[in-house]
Amino acid sequence: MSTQLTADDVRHLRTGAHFLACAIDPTAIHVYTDMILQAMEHQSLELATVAELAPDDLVVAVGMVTQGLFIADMPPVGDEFLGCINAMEAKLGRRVRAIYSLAAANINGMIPLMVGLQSSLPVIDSDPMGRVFPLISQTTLNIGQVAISPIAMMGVTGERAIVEATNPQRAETLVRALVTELGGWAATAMYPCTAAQLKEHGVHGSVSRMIRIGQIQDAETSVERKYLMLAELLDATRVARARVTHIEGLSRPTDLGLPAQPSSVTLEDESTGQIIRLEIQNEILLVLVDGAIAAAVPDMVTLLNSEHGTVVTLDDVRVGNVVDVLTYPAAAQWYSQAGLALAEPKAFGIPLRHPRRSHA
Amino acid sequence: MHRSKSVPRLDVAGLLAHGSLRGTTPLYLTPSSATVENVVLVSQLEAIQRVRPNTVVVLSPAMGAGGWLVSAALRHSWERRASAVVVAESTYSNAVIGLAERLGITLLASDDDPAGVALAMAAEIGAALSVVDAELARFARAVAKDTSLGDVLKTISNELDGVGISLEYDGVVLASAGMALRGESEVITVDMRRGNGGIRSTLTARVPVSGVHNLQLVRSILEVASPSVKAAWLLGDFLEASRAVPTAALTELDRHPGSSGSAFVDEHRHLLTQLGWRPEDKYVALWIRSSAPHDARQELTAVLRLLWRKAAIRSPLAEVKGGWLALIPVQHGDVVAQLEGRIRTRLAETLAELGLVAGLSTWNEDPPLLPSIVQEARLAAESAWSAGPGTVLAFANLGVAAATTFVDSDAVGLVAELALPRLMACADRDAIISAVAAFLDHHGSVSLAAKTLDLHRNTLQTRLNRARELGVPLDSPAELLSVHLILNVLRGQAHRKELPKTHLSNRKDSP
Repeated sequence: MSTQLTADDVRHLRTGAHFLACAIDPTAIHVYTDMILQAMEHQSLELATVAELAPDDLVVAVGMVTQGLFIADMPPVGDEFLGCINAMEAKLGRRVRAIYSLAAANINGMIPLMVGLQSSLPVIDSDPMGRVFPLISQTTLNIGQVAISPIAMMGVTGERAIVEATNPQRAETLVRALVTELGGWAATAMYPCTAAQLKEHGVHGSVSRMIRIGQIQDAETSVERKYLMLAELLDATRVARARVTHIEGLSRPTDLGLPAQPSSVTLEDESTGQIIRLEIQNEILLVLVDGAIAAAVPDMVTLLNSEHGTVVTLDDVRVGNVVDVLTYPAAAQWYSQAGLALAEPKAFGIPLRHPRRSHA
Repeated sequence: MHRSKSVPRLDVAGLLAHGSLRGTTPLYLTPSSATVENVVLVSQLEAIQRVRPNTVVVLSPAMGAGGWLVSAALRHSWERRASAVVVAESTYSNAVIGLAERLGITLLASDDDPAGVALAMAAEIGAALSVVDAELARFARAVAKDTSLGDVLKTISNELDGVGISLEYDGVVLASAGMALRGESEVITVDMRRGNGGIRSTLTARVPVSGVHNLQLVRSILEVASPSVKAAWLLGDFLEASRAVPTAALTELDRHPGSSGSAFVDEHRHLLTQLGWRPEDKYVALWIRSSAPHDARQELTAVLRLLWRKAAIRSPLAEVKGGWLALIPVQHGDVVAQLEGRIRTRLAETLAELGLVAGLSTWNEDPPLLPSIVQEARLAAESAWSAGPGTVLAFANLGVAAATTFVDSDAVGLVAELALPRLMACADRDAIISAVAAFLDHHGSVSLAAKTLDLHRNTLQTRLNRARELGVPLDSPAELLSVHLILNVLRGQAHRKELPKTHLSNRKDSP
């Protein structure tokens, strides 16, 4: 059943989108949230479940692909995503019936709401990641062999491109190259598929989950109570409450075309003496406790301020801070053999098998 | 050169000071230097999960670099009790070094290619092992020169700084050398079967838990020595067997039933002299027997001969029909008591373990007739059996009572059931049996019997009358011997019923 989203829902969504992508600067999320809230004053926003659509309805993923340039540094004009949807419809000769997030976290968790308001298309409560991954090929739709292309793109200066490539990894390379040429970011529409395909291969309830996370985080209640509710909602575990002792940039070699530099943060749990090491590239890929794997991508990790329970952005982490390291599992599809092949640490240049793979 | 200590024990501190780790930089060193027995060059983290303890883990540069990698490698290495982790020279944060310290594992950085360090170390470990092999070969030559079991065990013990070495059979120490340890010890055991499918015997070293001895090396030494132990044991057994021929012959010489020992001596005088038996010498015979024919009698003979030697008795032990026999020269009566004491203290417990008993003949001032003392010892051993395994019984303490040993208790019991049915059926049977038996033991004296049983005369008299009523023919002199025999057997059965079952349960051959 479709839901009319309220302004509070959007604010909670903003918190939830940041919670699931704590490694990334949240400025753009705030910019988009403000725009959405303003637009909602004149128009309602509908969140639909994929089951409500006709199985043959054409749906597309919308999302920003960035390469170096922060969106907040050069905000979009506003017509980019509509342009992409139009290009997609022209290319496929069919009308797009609904849109969904390319990634259910960070700015791409918010963008479909803005695009929904602009296009009057319903936003589907599903996505193909259940979180955010740096590569557009790292999707559950890819695991399900749903085609990524055609990909409609519109860049910083209004230039457009359509990429057609059957191999998702090749599509990734072409899109990355184009984004650089287009000015550092591009609005994109990709993974055009039927509602039935999305239903079979997508991750569902991801937008409402972000809203629920936001509700918990924004509630006027104790930190411990919030942790208990998050543990229940996300099956989360607090690995440690630890003090940051060391931050390292460029801590690993990288040659995989990943759109960020690797870094590491070392913390020390003052009650147990455990040494916790976070390996980061776009997001937290690996948590080692005394050298043993406590979490590894696709597991999700969020850092929280130990005093207030609020999300700690990696850019704001300083030596001496005390943070709580929270880990929780990603969508079940990611722990299949095909899922791990796309998203385990090896896919990020860390030659480690995910612990769940050895039991597979 | 002190041999066992000369076997090179490589450790991290030694290799850093003057070995293949000389070129590396210690990022963290554990306070005590870890032993090094192995080295692996790993190019995948998972490979560390399979390394053996005391291994130096060298990370290949192909694995990449980074603090996370070293952290994970340290963790895996710690889990596998590795000696140290060597990484390519790089700048590592205090956090990584802190983890090495937290886990207590040495972390070294190499300026050169870590593969080179691994190769150099492999060569060094190989060289150390070849020294071990050379040492083992030298030891094998030394131990092969020993011909007696005692010497072989002594050589093994000396090689291992005098630690306790023992040859054991089913938990029974047959022979040993070196110091018995009081404190905690590591027990290294090598299985050593004599012949095909033979009884399990083991060669065991008890090494102090000081870490001075390389336990793997101790095992290798035992394994190398094991053929010499077998050979010396076989040789000893063979020599004993040939020495025991005259003893064995005594039981095999034809003796007509009913003929006296002197007739036998007269008949075989020449042969006895040839066998080395001199009529003027005085001997005591000892007979060892088991309850039933033993499956591996030959093996048990070899085991018994070693035990026999442990009791410091030089006379050979012969394997004979129905048991084992030895004739021990004893010139004075007081020596017999010592001999009996020595057999009891040194052998009785082991005989019990093996489910055996022993009987000794009587010593006489006059030179004995050999067949007679052999028979005495055999009868004493037969009688000893009723008292359970481990019993050592002297015929001198037995005399004519030995005859009762040969009464078929089951048959006598059956006679009682048939001839004295009322006695057997009555409720206070045991009290009446013990009263009548005591009465007969004391030659018909009611007073003495009552005193023995701690009863009032009248009570005893009542029980005797009751026995008469139940059909026990107490007043027929011709039947008294049979009555006494029956009552003795019944009394014995009642007594055995009261005995706790553990009395017989320590026999090795009991199920």
